[in-house]
Amino acid sequence: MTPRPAPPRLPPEPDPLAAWTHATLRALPSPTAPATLAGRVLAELARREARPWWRREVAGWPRSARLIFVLTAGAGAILSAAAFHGGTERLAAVLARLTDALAPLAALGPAVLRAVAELPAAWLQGLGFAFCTSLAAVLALVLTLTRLLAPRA
Amino acid sequence: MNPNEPAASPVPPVNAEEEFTAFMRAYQDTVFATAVRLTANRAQAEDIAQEVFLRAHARFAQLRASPTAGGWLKTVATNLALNHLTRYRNRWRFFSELRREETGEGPGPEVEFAAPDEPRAPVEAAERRAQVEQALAALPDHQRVPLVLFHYEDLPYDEIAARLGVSLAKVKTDLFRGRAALAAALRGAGSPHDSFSR
Repeated sequence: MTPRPAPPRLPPEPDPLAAWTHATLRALPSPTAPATLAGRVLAELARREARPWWRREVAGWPRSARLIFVLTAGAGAILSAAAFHGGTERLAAVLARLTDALAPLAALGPAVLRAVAELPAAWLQGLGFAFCTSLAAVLALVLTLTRLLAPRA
Repeated sequence: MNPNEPAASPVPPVNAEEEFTAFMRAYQDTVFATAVRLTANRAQAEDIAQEVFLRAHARFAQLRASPTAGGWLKTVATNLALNHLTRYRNRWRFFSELRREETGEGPGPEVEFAAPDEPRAPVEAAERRAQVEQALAALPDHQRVPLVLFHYEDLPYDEIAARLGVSLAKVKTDLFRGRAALAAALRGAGSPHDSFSR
């Protein structure tokens, strides 16, 4: 006996309530924007343009400020990386390079290097962490105070 | 042609600001409509539309010649409106669950809804549109938002669930309840109605 062929699959019956809702909502006219919208946007753009540079996003800062920011952040990152991953010797080497770069402090270099070399690695890591945390806290404090105290543009 | 894309401006703009103003005027209704349907609040929708165009200004160099600028603006408007509503999402969930427990709503009550195809006088049609707009705006957010995303933005159930961070079952339940509440509100407002049993 030949098996009976399966009946063709029909598409699912549409939900009348869903179809009614769709027709009802789509029949509504599209809301129109208030006439003041474009003016508001242009006024806000003008207000943002008039802000001092330190209240803008970093991309809008002057080139010199961005350079100083990048150099400071880079130095902080290098110090942190050296403190956490390099151990005593690498941190001493980084400090030596920094000391060479800063002429007034050059005389203190050997003494600092000797003192650093004698410190245990855990202490150096702790100091590095404390330094970075303090730096971040001071930066956050300065930024917050600047935003709170500076007159709004 | 994509209905979101405006017709080309007959007068070419002179400078960047005029060009951006023309761009805004071309798309402001689309952006505002998306925001106001989701939030059901004109003031909030205007704030959202403003933020959308401020973001558009930041990347106007790419958008000015893009054929998908309308889609980008609608997506940003939808995301900003949903972000705005997300702040209250826990409250929606709480009240949604609470009301279900209190009333013991079942999944398949009989629903009566207004008949859509009857010819109407212009005044009656305008009145009915106002009733529908009011009924939609009066729905709780957890019902109105899936309705708008499904019926206006044409998003499938799973994408609505993903966007709202809720389960697929909740989206289906909220959609059904939203439709039923809309139908009930219009029936209560005196619209002619049919009967539907799930």
